[in-house]
Amino acid sequence: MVIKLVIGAVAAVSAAAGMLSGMAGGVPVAEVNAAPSARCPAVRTFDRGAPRALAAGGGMWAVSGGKLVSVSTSRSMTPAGEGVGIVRHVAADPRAGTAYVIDRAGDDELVVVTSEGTRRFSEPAEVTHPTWSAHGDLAWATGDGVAMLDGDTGRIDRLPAPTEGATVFSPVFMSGDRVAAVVSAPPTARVPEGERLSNLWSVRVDGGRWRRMTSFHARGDRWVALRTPLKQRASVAFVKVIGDATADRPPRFELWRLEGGAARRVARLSQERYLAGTRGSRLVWNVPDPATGRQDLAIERAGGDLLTIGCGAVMVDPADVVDPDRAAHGGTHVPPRGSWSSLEARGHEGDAEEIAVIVGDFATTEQASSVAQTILAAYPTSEVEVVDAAMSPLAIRPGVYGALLHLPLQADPTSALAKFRSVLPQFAANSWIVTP
Amino acid sequence: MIGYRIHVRAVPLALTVALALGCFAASSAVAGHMSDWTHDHSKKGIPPRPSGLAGLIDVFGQRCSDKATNARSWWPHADPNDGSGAYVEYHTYLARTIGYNVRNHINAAHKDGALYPGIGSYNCRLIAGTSSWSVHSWGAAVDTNWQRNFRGQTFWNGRGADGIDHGTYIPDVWRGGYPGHRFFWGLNWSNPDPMHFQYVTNY
Repeated sequence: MVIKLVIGAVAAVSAAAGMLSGMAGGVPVAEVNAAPSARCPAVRTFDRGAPRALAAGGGMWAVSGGKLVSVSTSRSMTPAGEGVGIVRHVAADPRAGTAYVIDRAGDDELVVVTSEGTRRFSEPAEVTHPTWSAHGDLAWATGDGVAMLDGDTGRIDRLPAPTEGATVFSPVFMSGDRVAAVVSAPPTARVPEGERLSNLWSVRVDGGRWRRMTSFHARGDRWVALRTPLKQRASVAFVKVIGDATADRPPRFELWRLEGGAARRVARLSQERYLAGTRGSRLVWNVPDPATGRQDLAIERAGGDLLTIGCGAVMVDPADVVDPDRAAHGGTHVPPRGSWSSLEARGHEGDAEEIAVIVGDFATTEQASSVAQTILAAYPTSEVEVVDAAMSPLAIRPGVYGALLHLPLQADPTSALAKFRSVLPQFAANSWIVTP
Repeated sequence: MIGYRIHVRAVPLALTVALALGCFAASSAVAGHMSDWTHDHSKKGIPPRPSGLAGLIDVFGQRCSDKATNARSWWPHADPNDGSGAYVEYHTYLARTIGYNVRNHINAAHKDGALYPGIGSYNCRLIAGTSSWSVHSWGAAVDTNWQRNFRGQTFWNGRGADGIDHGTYIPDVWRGGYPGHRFFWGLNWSNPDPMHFQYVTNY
């Protein structure tokens, strides 16, 4: 064994400091031009009669490229008066008409097209998921509750969420006098955003207490999300998504059915998909393309496989347009210009800074040393060292040790780690890219 | 900054001695001034930032994959339960800009006290009430100081774990152009999210 202490200056940092361009250089402003597209294939526009088709509410409608698309006729139309918003979430019923949401930055609008004409309802809220009852009443979600439009009187009633801070969405009529909706539990100190737990709840349309209809639970990292409930005869079908927040594996998707007061799993789904409607007795699905997010429409055949019948988003978020609430432009909270004394640190634009692969964490230096020797055997010309928090305070926590493989200055971290794990697969589960 | 590096053909005794020397040297280095440290403004240090869902997938790959957790750094005050330190894991595409530029920047400026529980990046979840996946599912976003900057709050609360109001120091390191690091700040959205910084726009 050869003892070799290498006094290694972290020279790149100091050397680069002499080549600074300072404030004038600024940060490269490169953007990635998104080569792949989430857009659906274009379909012809309605020659005429689009408003009548909307009022008739026949067939399946979806949203694609910012347009309303009649899936059954492969015709599209640009809704009038959408302004700076985007169209999303469309509900069509031949007994009533068509309703859809115009999503804007801030207040949204619900558009209802029936044989009596077009009505618009502006809401100071995030409007989602309109749904028709068999009697021509309409419900939609406002995040903090459900709004109900009486088809006969035109009166709007509001049903606040059953729990303060909860998010309510995807209402569906159980009957003429009862509506169900998905209720997402409020954020917690550990899960400040993102879905943690949702359940189906129901309430009488004339008010009263909400009643929980499913009893799913989430513990620790495990989360449960319900999506796209759909009334089908005497039952409500819905998608249940189960994930582990910190695990690096995809969540599971399942089809469930609520019937006679009990929820049961119908099938495990082979991929991400959400309910979009029915064709006869068969379910129609929105299936996102994993490469782009594009929403295909597919029908389940007898053998369980999916047949694509169109493209566009029904009750899911369209991926081919930017949600105005999340658009990059218009933000006011950008850095001020001028003196930034508290932030002063110059930049260099030459070589990239050094990165490393760390394997850890180990309770003793001996354990880390043993791993380091294994790494060195596989990378004999590289620099490998044992580190702790005093040596690499940003890479490892106090009280433990790691084996650190220094990578060349220009190394690409993604491919370097992939190579490391292929060479030394025994460390795949406890190796990371770090700044040494 | 000078560090001691040990080639691991060393015997355990040599390792122990070297570690001790390394501790001393590194402590001195960490106690240095901001001028000891510079941003990495190379293309690898601040890589191109994608736009939209298709761009996000194109650059970061599939959500909830191991690539989204393959880089990490140690952040004081990160744990939302007790304010102790914790690892923050993120995508390797952001290894230099988070691990070197942002984390090092705060540390080198002696501003670790401006951080406040909790701090985190990778989190495989749907956005509440939607069919859209959180950018955290790609390890391409960081929430910081969330116990004082919850979603829906229309301002940034800059009081750190040290009890001092640091103003917008932490957001300024993350957000926008120089001297920020090109992260988009969720406070800009119409439904504001002040704790949230992400490396993609229009999604």
